Amino acid sequence: MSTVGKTDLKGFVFDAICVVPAAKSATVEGFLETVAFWLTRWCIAKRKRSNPPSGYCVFVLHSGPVSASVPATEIVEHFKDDTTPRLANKVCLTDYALNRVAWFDATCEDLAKSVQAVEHAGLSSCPFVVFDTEAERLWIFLQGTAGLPVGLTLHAGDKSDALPTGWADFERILERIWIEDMRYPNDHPSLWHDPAKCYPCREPEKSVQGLVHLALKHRFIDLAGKPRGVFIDKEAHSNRGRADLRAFTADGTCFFAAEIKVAKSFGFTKATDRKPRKRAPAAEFKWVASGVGQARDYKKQYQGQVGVLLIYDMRVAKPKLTKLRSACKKWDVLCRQYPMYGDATGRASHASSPLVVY
Amino acid sequence: MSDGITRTWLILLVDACQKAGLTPIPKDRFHRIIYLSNCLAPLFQETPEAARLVKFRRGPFYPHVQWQLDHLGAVGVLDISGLSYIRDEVGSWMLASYGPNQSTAVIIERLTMTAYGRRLAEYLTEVVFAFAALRGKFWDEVALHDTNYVGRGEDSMINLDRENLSMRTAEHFQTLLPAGIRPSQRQELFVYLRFLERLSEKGPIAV
Repeated sequence: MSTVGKTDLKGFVFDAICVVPAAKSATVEGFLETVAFWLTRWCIAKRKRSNPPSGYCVFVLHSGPVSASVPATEIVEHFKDDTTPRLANKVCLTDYALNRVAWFDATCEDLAKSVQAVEHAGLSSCPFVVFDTEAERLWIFLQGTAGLPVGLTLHAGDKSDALPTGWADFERILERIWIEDMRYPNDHPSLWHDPAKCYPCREPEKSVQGLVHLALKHRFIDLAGKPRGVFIDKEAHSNRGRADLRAFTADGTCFFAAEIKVAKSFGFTKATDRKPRKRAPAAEFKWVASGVGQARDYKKQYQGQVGVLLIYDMRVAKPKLTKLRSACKKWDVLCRQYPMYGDATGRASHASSPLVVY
Repeated sequence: MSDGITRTWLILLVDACQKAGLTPIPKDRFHRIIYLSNCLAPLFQETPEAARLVKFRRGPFYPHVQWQLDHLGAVGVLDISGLSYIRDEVGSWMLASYGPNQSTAVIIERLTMTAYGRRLAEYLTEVVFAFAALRGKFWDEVALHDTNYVGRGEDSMINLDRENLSMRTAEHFQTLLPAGIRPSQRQELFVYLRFLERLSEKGPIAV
């Protein structure tokens, strides 16, 4: 047996920590991270195949005994260890860790038929993920068919996402995530309580942070399914608060430390609220502006190349927050304002008002 | 540890194993998970269920835990399957697998009503999931490469109260990460088990 040195051990520990799920185990969020990570590796393995089959598949979280309404299933043990199975037109009943999967064939030609297959099997109440094997896009139904889905495009082994060398690379990726998965409600329906009225969901910050973290984390997996040397972390505790998002290299360079704020015209303030309440614009601005100081603190704490305030703008009107400019300049913080629209009818005019950079 | 604590520990572990797709879990593998959970308990400020173990040639094995496990099976709290007996060069041995049943869920609901039960459930769930995240072909190997276990002679005593090398190794990893990254307890746990998987696959890494 060979013995390798401390440098290799450092690399090993860094790689290992990169793939630890951020969410607690045996939670729906943890399940989602596990599925997204495995599918990323599956997509990378798919690139090596000459003629991969296309279609949708479904992963249903169902760790208990399979009920009688489920069609005849085949059990696959150690499912997660093989990243090459044929997934198209399969419904997979799985535990939280993708170890034991019971799957059956179903007609999953599109999203609607995939959801129907789940309903026909009597699994509507289970959290599930629909995956388009061709477009490599996930539709996440955390509350079963009763809730609205979250869309997320995987960019596994995407050559356009070369290993980042600085904030500019991350900025490009974040912009792409916003365009593909967040700008309109049909990309990310669960983020809206009522998109036509610009009513956001409960806890939109948590949802936005989860989505951006998930999308960023899985871009840095190499063709062997191993991390590519970038550690994406969320909710990192420090004596200056909790950075919403940050990115490190193995040599300790912190590319950025970010605070995420969701600007809203309406918001749920109490758990018992059935409808969101109107938020005073001045108070909302003050709250968003407090993110500048937080981003500055995180940048200092982690000696980041940049401190960033990411504003996801769900307000009815989306005026530029130009008053933040002086604070950003003073504290050397970058600010990006990503407008999120309640409907796509004004798509043409939206194109001329892309994200705002301070 | 009292019998009640041991039974609590076992029921919560079996439940976590089910959530991770490991049930029905073979007896030997289950004892290995218990062993790892004992070694790493201080990471989560938990007290090991059993801090002492005599190294046994079949791998980590706790006779008192086995007694409680079978007791839980006999009273219907856990399901026992695949029961058989073998005789080999080491001697006679019982093989069995354990899993939860409907009454387990009711008991778990009660157990997690207490702060202790919830804290313990959280820890044991993380241990089981860190284990379940490893490749299946190494599941029965990793505990044998644990730093407390490896390199000791057969029948020697492992006393975690006196010295816990697993903990020290898991905590040492923090010093190998860049200054800005402070791993959480979960991350230390997952990285340590990945380390054991790496040892099982390729042999030792200099620490």
